[in-house]
Amino acid sequence: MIVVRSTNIERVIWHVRSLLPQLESTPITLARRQVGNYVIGLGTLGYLYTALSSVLETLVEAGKMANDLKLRDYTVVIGPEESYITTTPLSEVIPPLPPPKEVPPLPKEDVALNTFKCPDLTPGMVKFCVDNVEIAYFLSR
Amino acid sequence: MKSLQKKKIVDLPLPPEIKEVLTKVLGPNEEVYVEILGGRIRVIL
Repeated sequence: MIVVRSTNIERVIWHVRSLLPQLESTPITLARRQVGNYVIGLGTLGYLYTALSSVLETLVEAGKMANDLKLRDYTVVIGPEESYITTTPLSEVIPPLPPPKEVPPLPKEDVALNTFKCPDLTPGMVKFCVDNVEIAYFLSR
Repeated sequence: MKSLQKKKIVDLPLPPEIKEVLTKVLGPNEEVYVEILGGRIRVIL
């Protein structure tokens, strides 16, 4: 269960939102991924992603709803089955989340053309080479 | 300068092992275009 007070809701939304791309870009190492201080085993990442997305969505919707209801001091309670807003000031329950960090950009794909032992490429031709002999044919357009 | 010549495979100035493969694949009387590029030979099928 997660309990967030209205004063903290923006901060938690921002925090959770910044963790989602971090989860997506975490490198896989032998069926284990490390997210902050947590090591997540194979298969749990999808659940974690879904859970965090669901928390994020609930917090955003609750914030909107509270705004519509003109509530200023409120508490959002997110449970496994259902979530609600209450004006009772409850003490917060926020699981320790890894600190948000910059997501490194994904490495670009390396494309290496097979030149079939030829020293160069000739536009419009497919060819392969044996020593100094080039066997080539034109690509049909 | 590039020169493109039409030649029969048997008459190509190629190492025998390459000529043998081309002959087997295309037949000895098949004509191909040959281009001399510096020290290199380009055979266009």
